[in-house]
This record gives sequence, structure tokens and C-alpha cells, in this order.
Amino acid sequence: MRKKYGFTWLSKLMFLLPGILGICVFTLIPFLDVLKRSFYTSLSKEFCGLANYRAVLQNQAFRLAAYHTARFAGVCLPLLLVVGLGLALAMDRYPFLEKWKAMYLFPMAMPGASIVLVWKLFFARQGLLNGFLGSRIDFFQGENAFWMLAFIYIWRNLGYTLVLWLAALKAVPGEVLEAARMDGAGNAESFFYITLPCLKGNCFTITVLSLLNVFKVFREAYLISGPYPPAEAYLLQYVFHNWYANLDFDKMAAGAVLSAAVAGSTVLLLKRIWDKGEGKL
Amino acid sequence: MKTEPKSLCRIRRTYKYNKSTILAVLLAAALLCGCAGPLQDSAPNGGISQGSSGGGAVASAAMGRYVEEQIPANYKSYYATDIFPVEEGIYLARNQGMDELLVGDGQGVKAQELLSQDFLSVAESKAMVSMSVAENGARIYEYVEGGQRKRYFMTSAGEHLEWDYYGDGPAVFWYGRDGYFYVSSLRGSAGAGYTTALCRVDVETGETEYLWDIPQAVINISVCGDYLFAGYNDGHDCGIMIYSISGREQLEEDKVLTEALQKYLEGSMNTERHPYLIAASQTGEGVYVLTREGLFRHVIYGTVMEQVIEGSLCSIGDISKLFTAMCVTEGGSGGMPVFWLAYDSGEAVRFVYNKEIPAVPDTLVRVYSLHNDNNVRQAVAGYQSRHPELYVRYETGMAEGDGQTEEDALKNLATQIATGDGPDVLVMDGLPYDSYVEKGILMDLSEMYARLAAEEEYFGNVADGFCREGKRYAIPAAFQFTVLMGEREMIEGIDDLEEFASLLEGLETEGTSKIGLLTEDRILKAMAMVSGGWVNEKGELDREALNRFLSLCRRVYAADRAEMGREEVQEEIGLRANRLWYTRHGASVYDFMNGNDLYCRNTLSDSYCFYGNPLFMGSMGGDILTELNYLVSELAFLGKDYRVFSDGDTACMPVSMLAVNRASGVQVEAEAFLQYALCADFQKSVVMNGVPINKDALYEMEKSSLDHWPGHYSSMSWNYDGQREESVVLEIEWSSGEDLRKLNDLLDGIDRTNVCDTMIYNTVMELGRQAVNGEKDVEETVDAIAEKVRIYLAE
Repeated sequence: MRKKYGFTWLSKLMFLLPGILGICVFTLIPFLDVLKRSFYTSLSKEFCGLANYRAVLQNQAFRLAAYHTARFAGVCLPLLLVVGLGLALAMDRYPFLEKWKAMYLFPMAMPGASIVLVWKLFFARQGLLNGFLGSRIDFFQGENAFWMLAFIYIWRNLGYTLVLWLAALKAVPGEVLEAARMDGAGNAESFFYITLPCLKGNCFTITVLSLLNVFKVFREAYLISGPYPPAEAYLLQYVFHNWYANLDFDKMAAGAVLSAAVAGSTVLLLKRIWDKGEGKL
Repeated sequence: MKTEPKSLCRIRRTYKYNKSTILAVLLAAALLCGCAGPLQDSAPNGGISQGSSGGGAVASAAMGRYVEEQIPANYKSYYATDIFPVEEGIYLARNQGMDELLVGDGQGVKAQELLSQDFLSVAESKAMVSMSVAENGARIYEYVEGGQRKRYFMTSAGEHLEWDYYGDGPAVFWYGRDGYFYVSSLRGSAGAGYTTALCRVDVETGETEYLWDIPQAVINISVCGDYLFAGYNDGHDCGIMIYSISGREQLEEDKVLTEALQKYLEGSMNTERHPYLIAASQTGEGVYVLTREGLFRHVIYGTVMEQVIEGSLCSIGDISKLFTAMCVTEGGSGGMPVFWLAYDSGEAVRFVYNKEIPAVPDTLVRVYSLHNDNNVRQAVAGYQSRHPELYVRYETGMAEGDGQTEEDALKNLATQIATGDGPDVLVMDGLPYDSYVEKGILMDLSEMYARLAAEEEYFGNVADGFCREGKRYAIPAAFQFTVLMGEREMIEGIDDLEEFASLLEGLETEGTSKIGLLTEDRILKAMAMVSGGWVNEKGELDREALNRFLSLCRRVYAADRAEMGREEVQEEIGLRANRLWYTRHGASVYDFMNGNDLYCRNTLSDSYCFYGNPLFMGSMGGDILTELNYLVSELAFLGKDYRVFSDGDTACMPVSMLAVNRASGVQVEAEAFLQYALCADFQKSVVMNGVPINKDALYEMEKSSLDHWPGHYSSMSWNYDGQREESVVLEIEWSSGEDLRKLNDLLDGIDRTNVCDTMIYNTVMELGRQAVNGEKDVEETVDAIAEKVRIYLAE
């Protein structure tokens, strides 16, 4: 038996090794390199301590982008979770809707450039929507740009979230729900006291994934507005993109480290709250 | 405990090992196949070489390649029409009969005058359209007189006989080097289809013999032995037809040859007369084919195009030089043939094999520009031909057809610079100059410029625009400026944009545009050419200046269309949309002169010229002296004048701004390249886009212009435009000394260099439209621009 179990950890390691190597080579090591660069000047490569971090925190463009990114996350995340869950519940309740499940995944499969083209045709000043409404609203300027971006983000990620919620709903024990119904519980009570608590674990996963996706919103916005969008749609990725193009690698590295720290802290905080809620702490 | 029989254990183990082995073998095979890949072409530009001999690019350890030698010539400004071997040496035929005999001795090649007095007596008073000469001195030529084409055959004895085999139809002549002139005449139209009638003229007797009709629009004919190669492009199809002259029949197509020349045939309809050349080898083994990519040897109906000379390493790859003729002689070093090449500039070069030097130079100098820049391209080609020990490679960030945006190209460049693999020479047009200076990417060129300025004279008023804190990080190779054209009394008092807008508002025209700009984009670009900067000394957006600029643009826009109805405006815009040259620097002077975005030298009429507008604005951005010839002649004819347009002070737009990467590993060579690109020798010998920054070069060019060939510079004929019944010819004269002095005074009076940050410029152009056409208030637009620019400046 010992001989049999002596190699277990090794075989586990062998299975994990390709994944670990991949993460190290493509994520961890580059991140460590970025961390190192954040303490050096960009081209002359002289050590400058925390000067880059100070420059980033004092930079108006970065602060503007950080504010709008936080605002974007604060608005879009709850909306995405709620709308996704609502649709999943509807699909769970009305099986005929499941036939249309694939349709919600189309936005994820469509190339970003094609999506942008369609939305531009639809939402442009001389676009289809304005033509239908008889108005001349510029949906890509000012505050409208923010809501436009939020709409595109939710539309694009809804299918992904929906699939995750559906899987979670399928895992809710049917017997418990049936027992609750027999005891006279209504739909709302069943949802809030049985279904929702069962979904908490998945909710955490979906929230974290959606939060990380918020930081990646860029491509569609860039294709619509170019490198300098309206201020309301100016997110962190824009800053990094423009710093890269302007050879401000030092600021970009510092900004990336700060963003990663914030994202990481948020995830840990959420985990703590979730675990506390589940009584694990 | 139940145990497996030993045989079963053995089978299981064997099966496991076999499975592992099989998997391992499959994986290894997949990796090997993936790594192998197709065999790569070794030519540096990925040409059509399947191998190379004596040149091109193989491993740097390979030795031997062809080296270019410039041949000193007496009549450089005369178009070289042909080059072929004769008993005494190499005959170089030029326009107007300024021929030379190239004779080689142990110390190089010398050019001896070979002027035919019989021909010169006619040529000095006529503007020759085309001409061909044979080795016995016979010629066939054509000129235009009173709007009519006149053709003559001159015998070897000097007798001029009228030759009108094709009547009035256009004809092109080639000397076949087989005792005949070949003449082609294009018939038909794009709609009905083209045919080319081919005949040949005996150089001894002048007797004309019809050969056959070619059912295509032939653009080039080459005779090699018994083969006649006819390159054609009729707009739908292109290729090379091969005929047997003795058999009077068309032969099978040579697919390899056609494929090799496809892109040159496709692009050749309206550009180069000789997009490629074919010459026979004297030993009769195959033909030599010359394209921009280089010189190739090919056996007719063979499968290989063997690269002999790499185009990018010599003047063959220089797009500013149009090759006109080529010949091959034997007896070069190591038994290798010698290639002689003539260019439209009148220059001739030869390529001689040198087995002592590497096949590909070891030292690479990279020259980078965001967009294609002909000034730089010519500099690269010239510098390369003078430094065969270097490999000077010109790279463009946005190559044609690859779908990249400017941002993509800038990011790629940023990546290269960040990794230490940046280009050695940067052309700063479109690149963030101030940002690069701030980050210490560019080398300080102050000392280099001081050395240059000590030896030659430069337009310091233009070059100084790039100084930052007393240091100079880029030097423009040329610059452009804007002229306002109209009646002298009208344009005399216009000293700024405010007066210009007021003038337009006060003008009355009968249903036509006042200045022919009409659209928001054109007005913005035209006005931006002369406008002051929009950023103040603190680096903030100057809202007041921007507000003023957009308000004036709005006034000009309204005034320009005031006399026209909406439909008339749309019609006029549509009519001009395909014709007008539309660049960052706005309209060109050719827009008004020719009404066509292609430089079309034979279209001029009242209704085209100025489109009936009392005023026009355009930039002098091409070959400055040629533009001046046309400008002065046409304005004089129309009773109008021109002046440099200004907004308070006089601005110019710098082009081809050269800088050196501080991290370059070949700084010495990179600096030397800049010195070459800015020196008088180079700038006076090429056709630059814009005025050369080197004053000595400009003055030399002006001197050559004054010492021009006899007769007019060119001529233009009126197309029937519905307003005149007869056709009229306008002779374009050479600019006089007074015209050139006026130009020089204008250039010396330039006060500032109009350099605007690309991002700010693009934002103003993009958002300014709404202010110009009245969709939004000017103040609202300035707010929107300020918001966008605020973020940019904050970054």
C-alpha cells in the first residue's frame, strides 16, 4: 500500500505541472517582471523607487479612469448578476425558453469588430434608432457613452453569466424544493429561503469572474471611440493603452500593479464576506 | 489476496509501455513537422528568387555581388531614352538629342558627347514628345506643334522625312537593336476594348512594314533576338505576350515571367512608361528582367527567375528614378556580365560584379517612417548606392494593404523601442515628437547641424522650429507652404484669416463657389495649414485661439456656399470628390490648375481652371520648380497672381523630419545618413516633395532651371469645355529669374514652422466639422475638444 501511495503526490504534480508551468510562464513571471519595471524608469532603466507610483496616483488621467472603472463595476456588476439570474430563473421555470439558450451565447462568439459595426449603425447620430425615434441623440458622447458601454458589456456577458446561473440552478436539490412546496411555501419563499442560499457559492464565482471582466472592457469601447473616448467612458485600459503607445512603460507598470492589487484585494474581501456568510469563519 | 497471473501483469505493463511509446512517438512527430515549415526564400525583400547567383541575399558568409557605379554624364537633366552597345562603347540616347558615348577604360567610364547636328537643328526649337535612335544615327521622333502631332524619320545621312504611318493617332517608338524601330499605336477605348497596331521601320531605308495587331493595350515592348515581348494592361487583365518576329506569330505564354511581372503590369496604366525592362543577354542564354525588386535572369519558358541584383541595395529600388532602358554586355570581372541602366533623369549607371565584398552587407541601418515618404525613400536609395558596405533598410509603419491603423503602427514602434530594437533613423512625421524628446529617445543633432550649416546654407527659419531648450532633435528635409491665388488687387491686402474670411463674405459670384473648398473637411485642413498653434506655452489648449479658428472656418464655409443652392453644392462636391487631392495639408495647387487629382498635364480650360472661382488656396508640396513653372504660366495667362498665405505671420509645414534614435547601435552611420539626406548634392539631384531645406540645393536647381533646354518647359492644350469652339494651346514657360527671386524672398520671409501635435490636430479635424457646418455652437465644440484633449494632456 505504501508503495502504491508513495507515488500519488508525484502523479498529482505531473498532472498539475503543465497548468502550473503555463500560469508561471504566461502570467506569474510576466507579472513579476511588471512589478520589477514599476520601480525603474521606462527607457533609461534607472531605479527610481516609488516615484512611478506617486506619478500614477497623482496623474489626473489615471484618477479619472479609476473613478469611472469603479463606477462601471458598481453599476454593471449588480445589473449583470440580477438580469442573468432573472433570465436563468425564467428558463428554469419555462423549459421552452431553454431552446433559446444558445442565442444568448451568440454575443460572446461574435467578433468584437462586427459587434461594434452593428451598434454603430444602430446607435449613431444618423443611425437606425435615432431614425426610428426621430431624434438626433449622440449615444456615443457624454453620459450616453457610459450607458452605451454598460449596455454592450451586459449584452456581451449575459450569456456567459446565464449559463453559469443555469448550471447552479440545476444543482439546487429538487427534493428540498418539493418538500417546501408540500409544506406550503410559495415561489418567493422557495426562492429566497432555499434557492438563493444554494446559489451563494456560485454567486461568488460569477461575481469574481464578472468583476475581472470589468477590468477587461476595452476592445469595443476602443473600436467605437478611438484612444480618447468621452470622459465618462474613459476606463483604466485606456490609460494603459495610451501609456504604452506613448512609451510610458514605467507608469503603465505601476498602474498595472496598483490595479492588480485593488482587484486582488476586492476578491479577497468578497471571499471573506462570503465565507463569513456561510459560517466558515 | 488475489493476485494477477504474472503473464497478465506482463501484458498490462507491455500494453502501458507501448501506449506511452506510441504517444511519445506521435508527439515527437507532430513537433518535428510543426518545426520544419516550408523552405524560406533567402532574398532580404522576399523577392521572387528561387536561389541567387552572384548577388541577392544568402548567408552573410557568401561573398560577391554586383556593385553600382555612377557614370558621370554631361546632360543629366535630359531624359535618357535608350542605352545600347555599339562598337566603340555604350550609346546613351537622351531627349532633344543630347546623346553620349560611354567608354570604359581602366579607371572607370567616361562620357563623350555625341551630338547629331542634323537632329539638334530641329530639336532646339521643338518640344520632343518621344524619340528613338539607332546605332547608325537614324532617328524617328515626334513633337507637337500647334496642337498637332508631327512625326519624322531622320536617315543616317541627316535627311528628315515625314512619317505619318499612323496619322494623328498616338504612337510610341522603341529601337529593337535588330535594325528596326518598332512603333505601336493604341486604338479603341476602355469601353469598346483596346488594340495595339504594331509596325517596324527599317533604320537604313525608313521603309515601314506592318507587323500585326495585338488585341490588348500594350504598355511596353521589348525585342530580344527573335522574341518580341509585349506587356499589356487593358484595365481588366494584364500579362506578357510573346511573339516570334520571324514567324509573325504569337507564342505560348511564359507563365513564370507573367507572374513575376504581374504587379508591375497591374499598376502600370497611368504611371511609369517602363515599369519593367527586358533585355537579351549577349550570349543568347535567356533574358534579363528588371523590376523594382531587382534584376533577374530567366530562360524563356523556364521555371526559375534567378535574382542577380537585389533592388533594395541599389538605385533600382529607388522609386523616384524611373528606369527607361537597359542593356547587357559581357566581359566583366570574373566573366560576369555588366549591366547598364538609364534613368529618366538622364543618369546612367552600370553594375559590375565584385567578388571581394559580402553578398549581403553585415551592417544594417534601419530607417523608419509611419507613412511612405518619397523624400526618405530616395535618400535611402541614394545613400545605399554610395555605401555598398551597408544595408540600409527603409521600413514604413503603415504598409499598404495590411489594415493597420496609426495607433497599431505606433504601438508596434513603441514595442520595438522598448525592447531596444528600435529603428536607427526615425522620420518624425506623424510621431509624437515632444513625447520622444521628453523621454530621451532622440539624439541631440545640434552639433551635427552646426557642422552642416558651416559648410552649406540652410533655411534656418524652418529648421529652428524643432529646437527644444536650445537643442535640436529633428531636422526637416523639406517643407511646404500655402499660396493664395487670385487677382492681385484682391489678394494683396490679405494678411490673416480674419481678412480672408471678410473678403470671401464680401465677394459676389454668380452661383459658384468662391474658393472651391465647399466641404467642412477641406476648409478645416486648408485653414489649419496657415493657422497658429492651438497649444499655449504651458502645454494647455489655447481655447481662445481654437475658438477664433473654428469661428473663421465657419464664416468661410458659409461664405463659400452663399451663392449656391443646396443641390448645386452637392453636385459640385460630387463632381470634385474624385478629383481633388485630399491630404493632411489640404488642396494642392494642381487642384485648381488641372481639376484632377492625377497630375494630368493636358487638361486646362476656363471652367476647370479655378472652377470659375475668383480665389483658390493650395499648398506647394511637390517638385517646387515644376509647380512654379505651371503656376506662373497659368496665372499669367489668366491675369492672376499668387502670394504666400499667412495668418499674421507666415508659416510653413515641415516634411520628412529626420531624427536619430539615441539607442541606435549604428549612430555614426545613422548620422551620416542624415547628413547625406540634408546635403546639397542629394537634395538638388532628386525630385523632393516640398522645398529642400538646403538652400544651396534650391539655388543650384534654380540655376539649372535658368540654364534649361531650348523651347518651352511643356505645353497644355484646352479640352473642349462647352464654352469654346476652337482648341487652344498654352505653352508652359520656364520660370524667369524674377519669378525665382520672388519665390526666394517668400521663402526667406517664413516666420514659423507650423507643427501641431497629431492627436490635437485629429481631434480638431474630427469634432470641428460640427462647428463649421453649424450643427453645434463653436463654444460647445471647443468644450468637447478641450475635454478630449484634457485627457490626452493629462496622461
